[in-house]
Amino acid sequence: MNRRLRPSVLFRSMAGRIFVLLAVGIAASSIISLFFANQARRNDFHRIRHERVVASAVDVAGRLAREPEKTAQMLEQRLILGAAAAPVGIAIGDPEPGLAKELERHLGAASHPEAGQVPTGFCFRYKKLDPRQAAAGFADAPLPDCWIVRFTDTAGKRQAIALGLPRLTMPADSTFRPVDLLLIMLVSALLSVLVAREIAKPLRRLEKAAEAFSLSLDPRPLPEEGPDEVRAALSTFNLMQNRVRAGFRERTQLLAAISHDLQTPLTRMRLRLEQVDNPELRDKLLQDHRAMQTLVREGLDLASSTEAQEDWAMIDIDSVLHSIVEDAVELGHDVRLLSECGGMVRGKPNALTRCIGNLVDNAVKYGGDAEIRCTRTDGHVWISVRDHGPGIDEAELDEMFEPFTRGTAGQPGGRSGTGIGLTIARTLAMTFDGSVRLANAEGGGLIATIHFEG
Amino acid sequence: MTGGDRTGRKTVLVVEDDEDIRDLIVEQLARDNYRLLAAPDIAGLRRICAAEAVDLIVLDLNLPDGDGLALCRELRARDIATPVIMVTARGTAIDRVLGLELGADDYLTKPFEPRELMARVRNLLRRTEGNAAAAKVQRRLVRFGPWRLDLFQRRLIAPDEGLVMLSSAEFRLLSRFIEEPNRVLSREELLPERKATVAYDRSIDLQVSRLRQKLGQIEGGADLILTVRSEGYVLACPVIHE
Repeated sequence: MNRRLRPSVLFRSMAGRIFVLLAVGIAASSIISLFFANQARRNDFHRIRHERVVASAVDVAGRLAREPEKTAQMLEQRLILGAAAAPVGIAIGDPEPGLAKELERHLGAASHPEAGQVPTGFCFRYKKLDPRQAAAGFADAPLPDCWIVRFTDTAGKRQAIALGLPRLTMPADSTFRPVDLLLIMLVSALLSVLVAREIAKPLRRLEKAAEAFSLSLDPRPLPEEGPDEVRAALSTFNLMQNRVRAGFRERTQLLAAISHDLQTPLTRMRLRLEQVDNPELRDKLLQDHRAMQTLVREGLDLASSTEAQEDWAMIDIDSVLHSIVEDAVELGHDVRLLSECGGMVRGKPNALTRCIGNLVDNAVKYGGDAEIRCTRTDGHVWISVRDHGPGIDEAELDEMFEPFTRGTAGQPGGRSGTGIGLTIARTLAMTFDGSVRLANAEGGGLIATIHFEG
Repeated sequence: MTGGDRTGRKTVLVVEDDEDIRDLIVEQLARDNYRLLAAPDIAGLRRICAAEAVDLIVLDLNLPDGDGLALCRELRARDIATPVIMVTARGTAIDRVLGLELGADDYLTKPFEPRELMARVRNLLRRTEGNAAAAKVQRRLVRFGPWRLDLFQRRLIAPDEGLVMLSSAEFRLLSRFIEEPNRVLSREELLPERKATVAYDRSIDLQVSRLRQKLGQIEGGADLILTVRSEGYVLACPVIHE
């Protein structure tokens, strides 16, 4: 679990990368859009404030244009709610050009308006009234916003009015509340996990299929389902699988055909050899004949090992090992079973027996003896065959599986046999979805290990 | 019935389409003083069998006018017990198991050692001498107690279809028991190849105990082979060929 959560591991897998990209991306974009929404809200707030000022100012300007004297008087005496003559000599400390422009649009270019907010005290003069004590519950709300607007009226007279408007307070900013942020991150992480898994799923399947294909000779075609792209990839994979299999089968058939047809001339030759009178010549020819025969036989073995159509069965694994050991001992070989597995395994009985038998034969032939061990954990079975021979150069270990490879000439016993035993063993192992590995043992000798799930 | 001539020689019929091989086999077998007949195909075989009594047929599997297996089956179906040695190239689709199942008495793969051919012919003739019934079709499965024994694949089959492998020695031993169930077999009878020393060596006891152990793994398999003091062993259960 710990290993999986390390960032390097997260970034190595595609699902991990998609997850990180999406989680970060979604969270960032939603935070950014929230930020912009907040910005828009702030702008709207300012716009509404300005609109109210403009509406008031336009109203007052209209009255001034219609009844200049009465209005001026009313302003002076504070008889209009929310509008009064501005105190003489007041400066607009913080002019707002945006508001001025808006006023100009309504009052005409000749009005040259100026506007700005000033402290509330310029609009209202509460001498005795402390709003905090006089009003219930609304803190400083009763105190209005105070705006000063100056403009030139239609008569060409410069007017200055103070507009008191009910105060608008912007509600507190909620964008970056931790709860919201956490929620955003959680949702984006969840979404990313879903997407990453959805994308990785077909790839996983493909990977599993490729692995099965590399282990088995007779892999099942993948069901072609899912979105178009995935289906196309799966179908291509199936096609490749079929082609590889077909090519493999062709090669095997060729090998089988050649080996098979060689048997007739070999039979003739063998029977004719009985008529050779010169004993020395006869022995030499017999030796050659035997060598050829071995080659043909192993070629056929290899061909039949790839074509083996054996049924799966439950096998008493220890009985397999015991019977192999006893048969080898009966032939006078030094073969021992050092540890048993116990229980039944799922496998192909003939292929399994021949596979182990081949490894034991090899060990006896090249190493002089064979020690068999069987271990089993969580449905995996390992059967190792160890000899105490010279082993094989590390560099040559993999080559040993190629047909007709026998260790280097310098190795004792390295030149006898056809060198096809390991190839056959591995092909046989593939028929029950197993694998064969070679390694040099500590203290000398070679270990061949069969691994399969059973 | 013996198809030999007045001198008591046995008649062996070689059926093989390759002329060279046919002649060579005939030549080889002639060393053993048989009366030899040869046919290149199934038609020839029928002709000869109709005219003469034959003691043994050496039959190639692939013949130009039909395959040896079908012929073998036909012979058995008509209750003709003439023993047959099937000769075939290895790697043909028909394997040893099928060959034996269809009624061949023995089986030889090309290329074979001439001496081996001669030995098999000799053995088979001896085995079937005066005992035509011996050449009956060999059954593949034998049931005894809870077990079944696969005679061709040399393995035990448990009631749950699980497989238990037998070593060659164990298989030989068990086959011997199955041939004569419920009869006490002496150590010499069980291990004829070691007749000379069997009285001293205990290897037969070891083999029997191993076999018992394998058979005893499942319920009802424990007391199949019983020891009869100072006489030998007995397989104490009915044996059914199926």
